[in-house]
Amino acid sequence: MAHFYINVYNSETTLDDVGSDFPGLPEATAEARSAAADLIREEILAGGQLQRHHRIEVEDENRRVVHVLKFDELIAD
Amino acid sequence: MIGVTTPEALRLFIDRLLLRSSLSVAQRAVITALPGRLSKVPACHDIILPGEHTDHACLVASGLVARFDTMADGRRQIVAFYLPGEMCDLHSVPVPTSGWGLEALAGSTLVFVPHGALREAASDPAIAMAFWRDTVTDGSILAKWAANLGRKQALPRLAHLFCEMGMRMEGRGLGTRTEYDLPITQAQLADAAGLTSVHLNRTLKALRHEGVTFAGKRVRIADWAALTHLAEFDPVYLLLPEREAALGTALRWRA
Repeated sequence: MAHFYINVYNSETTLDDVGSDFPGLPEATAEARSAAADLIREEILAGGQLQRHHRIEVEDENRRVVHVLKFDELIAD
Repeated sequence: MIGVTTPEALRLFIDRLLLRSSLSVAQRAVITALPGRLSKVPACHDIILPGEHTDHACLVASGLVARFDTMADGRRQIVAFYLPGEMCDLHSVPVPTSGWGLEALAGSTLVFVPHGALREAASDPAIAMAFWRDTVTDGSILAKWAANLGRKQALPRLAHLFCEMGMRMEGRGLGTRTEYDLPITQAQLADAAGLTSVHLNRTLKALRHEGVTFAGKRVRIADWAALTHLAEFDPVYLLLPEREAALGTALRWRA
């Protein structure tokens, strides 16, 4: 298990001060995608629009950014 | 809390039964005299796994226990919380193979009560009816959780969870409905609310704007009426005595 922090930068910034344990980076990245899906769903239901520049960042236990998921990447052209 | 004995734990269980059933002094004595093996379980420790066979029911003497199911990829969904005085799996007496697991969320003291002894106690119809009503209460709460998990948005869903735990904690004399200890981690709370840890974090932040905080494993609710309104919380499913439920309703309409 490794500890990761997942920060959200969309209409407001939510920093993860607690972090979570995952078997590895792939699982932490999967969690970030799942969270993006939740947040996008919530935004749409609230009558908002997707912002391509919004992103989720995964940090390792030393709080170094190890993965960036841009909402942009979730939309095909 | 540390030095709780089996009879003390059984008395907590009687208090829980008496919320919804009446039992004579003799019937209470039968329950207090039930045999039980006291066991201390550390936090995050599985007590029983889905599919496991058991020959005893598990009474919480102190701490906090969750019922859960596990997905193939290892993710968990918590489907119930059990407080001190609550028997997590009284329904295992007639059906001893569990379809779900039990986990101690916080360091907990449990009393394992043999099925045989519970069956014998239930030969008294009033005790059997009290046990039956207790499992119906579990079922009622589970149905509400299913509806909340399936249909509510994250904010009212989490708000509902905090309202329910407030009512139940207050009912057990563990704090008040607006301020109580909830000895679980954010990850466990996410598993109970069916949210990713990220979404939970975001939802807790939104709840702070509503005057609700979950910090240092303690829940504080500034405006009970506003929270019950946000959560669409009506305590009737807790099957509490009318006086307590009515108090909750009255508070709700005071907004």
